Amino acid sequence: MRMHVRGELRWAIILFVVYLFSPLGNAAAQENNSSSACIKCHTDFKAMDRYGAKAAAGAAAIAG
Amino acid sequence: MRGRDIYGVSKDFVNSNHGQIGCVNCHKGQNVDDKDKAHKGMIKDPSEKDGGGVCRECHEDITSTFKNSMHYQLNGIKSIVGTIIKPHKMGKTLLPAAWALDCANCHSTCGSCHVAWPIVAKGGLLNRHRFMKTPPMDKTCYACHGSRFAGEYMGKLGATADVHYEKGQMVCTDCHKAGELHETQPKGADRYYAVKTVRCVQCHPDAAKSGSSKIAMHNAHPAGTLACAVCHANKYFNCTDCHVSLDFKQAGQKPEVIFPSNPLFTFKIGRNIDRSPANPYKYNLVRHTPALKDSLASLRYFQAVLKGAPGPKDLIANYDALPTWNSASVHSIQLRTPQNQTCNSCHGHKELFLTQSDLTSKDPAANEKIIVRKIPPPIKR
Repeated sequence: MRMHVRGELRWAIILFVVYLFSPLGNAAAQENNSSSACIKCHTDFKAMDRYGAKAAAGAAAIAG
Repeated sequence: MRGRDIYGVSKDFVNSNHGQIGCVNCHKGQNVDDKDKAHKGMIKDPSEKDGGGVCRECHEDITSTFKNSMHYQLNGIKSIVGTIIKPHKMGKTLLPAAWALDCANCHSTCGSCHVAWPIVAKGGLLNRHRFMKTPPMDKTCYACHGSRFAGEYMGKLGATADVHYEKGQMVCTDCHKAGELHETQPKGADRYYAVKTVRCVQCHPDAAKSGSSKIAMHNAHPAGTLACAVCHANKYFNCTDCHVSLDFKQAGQKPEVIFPSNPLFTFKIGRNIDRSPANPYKYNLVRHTPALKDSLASLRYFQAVLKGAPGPKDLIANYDALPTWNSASVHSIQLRTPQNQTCNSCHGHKELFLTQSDLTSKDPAANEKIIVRKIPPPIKR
């Protein structure tokens, strides 16, 4: 019984390590701190214009 | 034409040191495609909080002084308002709300100089989120100081530009270094008493040596008599914006525009009541501040509507305590000006001095301290 639990634990650790270093795990870890979606939109002026960015830019003016 | 970019970020910013921190690490929000979800909880200006915000993590040396600086705290405005409303307490009036809506628009943050246009200029990114180590004068300094210093300096108010700009091509930060802009000493001082400010004599040491100067007119006036600008400034602008308000006291009444700076251009030599070791001059140029005893009268009625009970009848109860002609840091400096052509271009010219005849019955009593009672007589050859 003890050997069985130890075997399962070993497999769980191995699978976790494999996941961490796999492209899938890497992407998930990166996504937590990433700003890829923000950058994708905010550097695409045409995309932002669809949300009214061009109109907002035109409305900005100096107060003096 | 796109106009000013509010939200557009350049790709090269993304690869810069600041860009690599990642948007969500400063601005919060979420890194998802859906616009509404992405912006939920987003902080527009992450540098605002406590005079540094997220910038503090790497720039503690600057934010530790900036949080108490005039640019962040607007010390002068606070102390003036606190003085003229005595014995009323600001917290029991609508002034804190008025401050947040209006006055605070001129308070600056790290971001409102180095990344974006100031709030008073309606915001927007300066250069697609690239961080500007030296803020561009015409977009940042001018946005808040446009109706006086920066506008005068660049000649945008209809008078001659400053020689330092016109001939020297100098920008604000050539004189006003980062140390002065990021720190006010002594702590809590307003601009008349701040000591970490630039003085003309730092670049023109010979000009100030009364008695041993190469310039006859400098020798003729004892040291500490005239501020440099008295002889070297051209006409300048009176204040026009911040204190101008619509005044209405009853429902249905046609609002009256309070606009007492008339004429807009002025040149007045007055007595300097803010003398200090760094600013020892007896006479300085003075500028009119558009404020009357009932300038804030509307707040009483707004308070009645918003809070259920009207504010104090005499909100500016201590109106007489402070002058409405104040020392001016005029930025229209020229070597030769109308008043420094000859001795008698100034001497005997009453119109160049603030005198009793310039005051009105509505002026505060403190203006009496500013007026010049004895005009220097013409010099007889």
